[in-house]
Amino acid sequence: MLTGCREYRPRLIEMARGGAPAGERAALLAHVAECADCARVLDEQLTLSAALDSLAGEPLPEMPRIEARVLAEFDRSRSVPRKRIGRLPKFALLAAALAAVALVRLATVERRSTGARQIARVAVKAIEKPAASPASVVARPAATARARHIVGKFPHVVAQVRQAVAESEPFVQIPYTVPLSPEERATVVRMNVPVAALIAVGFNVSTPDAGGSVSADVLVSQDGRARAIRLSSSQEEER
Amino acid sequence: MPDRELLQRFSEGDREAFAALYREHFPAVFRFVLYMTGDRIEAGEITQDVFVWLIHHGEDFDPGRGPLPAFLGGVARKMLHRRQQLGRRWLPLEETALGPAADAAPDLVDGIGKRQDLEDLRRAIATLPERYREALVLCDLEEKSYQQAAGELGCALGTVRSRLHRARELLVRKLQGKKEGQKC
Repeated sequence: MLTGCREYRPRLIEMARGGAPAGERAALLAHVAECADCARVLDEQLTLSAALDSLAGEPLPEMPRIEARVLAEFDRSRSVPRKRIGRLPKFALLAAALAAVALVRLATVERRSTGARQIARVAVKAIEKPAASPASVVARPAATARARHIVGKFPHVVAQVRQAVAESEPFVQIPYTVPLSPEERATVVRMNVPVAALIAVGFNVSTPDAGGSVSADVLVSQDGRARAIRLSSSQEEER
Repeated sequence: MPDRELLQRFSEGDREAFAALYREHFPAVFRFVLYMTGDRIEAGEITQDVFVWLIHHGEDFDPGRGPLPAFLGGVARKMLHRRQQLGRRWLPLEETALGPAADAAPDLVDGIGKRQDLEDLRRAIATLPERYREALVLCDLEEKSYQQAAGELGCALGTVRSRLHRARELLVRKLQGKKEGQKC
């Protein structure tokens, strides 16, 4: 390689692309004539230019399905429901009104049910985790008493709430794994996880029985790797 | 009919105007995405996404900032970038096949016009780093000037030139590696 070859390289590439000024071509060719390395580079780049030209000249495949799908999306996006309102028969409007009434009733019932569930949730937490129960529960004995009443009266609600409480515990990220991105899909798999495996991945577990296993929900990302874990409640294990 | 008029009619719900826009610009968008991905199926999907996006966001196009092809190119680049981010954890099979370059002098000329070689070239381009690939696709495959490419990529003209040169050098080395691998 001659001195200054490095400076010639970009100009050789431009020459191979057909972009070198006419006045420069003679100097470049003179250099190439006495430098085998630069001659090779020019040859490679000329060949590459020919290959890229062939690629650029390739005919495109027909894509009728894509056009059909795009135009269908256009039609869908432009279908304005307001235009059809005038053509709706009267019974449809009546049905819509009835449906609205039914929805309102349903929402009311749901809200009542939700209220009972919220109270039951507080009660279950207060009963099952007295040390961790919020101060507001202690400060509102009437609410707690009502909650205890609900616990006694509606055991099936309590069972559902216990399940919900167990499932509302947050997942703990497995140490040294990349956190899930917001758009990433994940699945939850319930399994028995050996305590030794928890210790191996970096959790600080203090237990006399490291050979045992615990029931846990494991958050598995799209690539099949476990990213986070949530231990099931003791009630769940007993079942 | 000029793009601006077609866009106006398309925004008013004229299906034929949109179809005309689609047919006019589909080849360029598809080619760009195909060169960037090296995969016809993926290129078709992304191109479809670009035009579906246009249906819902046609008002985002500002003729004062540039022509429609450049705008669609920008949308396609964003779609590509998003896909690349999602698929980053997967290592393409070709990456291993087209691995590090061989130092030996190449014989690039052999049958480069053949279909398989073009397919190899397409795949090799798809494995280039994105910034180099974009420069190569815009300047050498779409034959845009450095000025136009710099405008689309939002970088300096000299940057486009140096990226293109680097892309061409890398591409030659990748193809050499492929050829050497086939001989072994």
